[in-house]
Amino acid sequence: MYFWACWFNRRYRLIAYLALTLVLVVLAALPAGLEKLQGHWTVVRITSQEHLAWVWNTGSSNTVAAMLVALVFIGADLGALGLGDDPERGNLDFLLSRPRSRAQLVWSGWFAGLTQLLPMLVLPLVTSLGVLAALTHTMLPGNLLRLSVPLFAMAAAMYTLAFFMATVTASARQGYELAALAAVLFLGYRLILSGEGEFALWRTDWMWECLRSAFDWYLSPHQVFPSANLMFVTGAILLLPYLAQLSFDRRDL
Amino acid sequence: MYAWKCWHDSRDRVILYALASLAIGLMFGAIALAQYHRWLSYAWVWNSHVRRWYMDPVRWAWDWALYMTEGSIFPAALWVALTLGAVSVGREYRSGAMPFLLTRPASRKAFVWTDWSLGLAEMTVILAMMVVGVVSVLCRISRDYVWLSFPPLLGCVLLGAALYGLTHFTTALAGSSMKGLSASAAVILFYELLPGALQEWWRLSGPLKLRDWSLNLWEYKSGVNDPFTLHGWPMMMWLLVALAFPLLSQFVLEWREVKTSRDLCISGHVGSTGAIG
Repeated sequence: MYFWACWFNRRYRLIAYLALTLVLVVLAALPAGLEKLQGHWTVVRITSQEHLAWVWNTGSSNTVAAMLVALVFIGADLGALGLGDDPERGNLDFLLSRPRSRAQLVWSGWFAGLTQLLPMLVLPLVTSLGVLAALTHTMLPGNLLRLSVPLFAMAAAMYTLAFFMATVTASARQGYELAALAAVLFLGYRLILSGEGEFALWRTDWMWECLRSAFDWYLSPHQVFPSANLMFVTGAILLLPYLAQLSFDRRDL
Repeated sequence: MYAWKCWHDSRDRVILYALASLAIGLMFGAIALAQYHRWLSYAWVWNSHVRRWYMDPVRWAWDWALYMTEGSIFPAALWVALTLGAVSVGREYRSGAMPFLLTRPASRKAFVWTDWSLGLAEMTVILAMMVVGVVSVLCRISRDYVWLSFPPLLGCVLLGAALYGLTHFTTALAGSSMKGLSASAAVILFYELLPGALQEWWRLSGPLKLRDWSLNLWEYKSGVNDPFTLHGWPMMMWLLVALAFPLLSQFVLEWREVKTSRDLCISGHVGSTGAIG
């Protein structure tokens, strides 16, 4: 089964990514429930319901920002290593000798990567919830769970874009570069449209705001209909593997 | 001979990037030229009276063009460094060309330094094209401020050399251009974003200061009390980093075993897909 082969081939990478994301999430969530007193970090003393909500909101916001960066990077990497990596390794001849259609290979490869993104989302989210719950002795997961949907949509969109580019160019590296270029052009287009940044592309505050504002698209009241942006991204996520399949069906080896 | 092979492998990309860079430079030059003509009429009115200061539309046009160039040449250096570094000598392992290359009468050191030097030259040409585009347009107004374009170019080439060296090294270490590119992108992403996050989350200002200092490459005013703004030190640091990476790549290549396709089959590298049914 190609699906399991994809999991097997990327197991070490997935473990490394998961460890990295977990460390980032703990680093992000922990300070929300701590305060610095006389130079030492201590667990914050909750004084009111508003304070409790503030701790959870801060922790959730930090977690989402950290996970967005990590998941977009991981999504691009896994996408480029989807089917795009096999031609470079010379595995494609062997793969196509198996009694499976090309369409099945493309969709199995894509689906394997998508399922690999799921633990990268769920386990850090659970860790963050655990950290915040341990610090506050309360569970208010609403915000974090609500934002996890657009978070996964962003990661899946980046993953699918890289997968599509890598499959079409038959090269993981070129797919990665083209997906990064597409993301940069899209951000640049948004930057020019919004008039922000003034070419100060290297500044952290701008990058941070821009990364966070990814969620604005989903929460914006100016959508054609509620959740229109989310549905548009979901449609693109399903369309791109199909286009990749069309390209792969016609490729000569 | 290896230099010719490297050039042959990367020439399409280099020519494309150089042309794009030139086009961006010409565009910035044209924008600054249009601004110059607008300021010229204001300057005539402004300077016709006694003032504390007088408008210099030529200087303003140069500053405007270089401001735009600085904003673009930094990401361009990052992009070119990543893409050229990923097609360096390390990828020959994955492509299977390394066993053949090592039969040639040249040392492994020669491969590393030839490849690195050529990549650096290509990157310098690509980045210089942007400045050439700007300068060629603005020279129509005045040539007095051409020197202003050199510090950003030098800073970017140095920083680009460090990033190119990093990708060169990670590609050699991983023996794969994709893995090298991915690792290098991760390092850059963390270097850029983690200090800001640590400042915001844990109120640790040290990493952010270090990052800002290291990226402050063409600050003309040196600090008096703050050691983090000493002029010239960031460039020196990046120069050392840029030279350290090819040495590390050389070290990696000299100690690395070369696996033939037969070895890969025996070790199970290809066989991992053998479970596909």
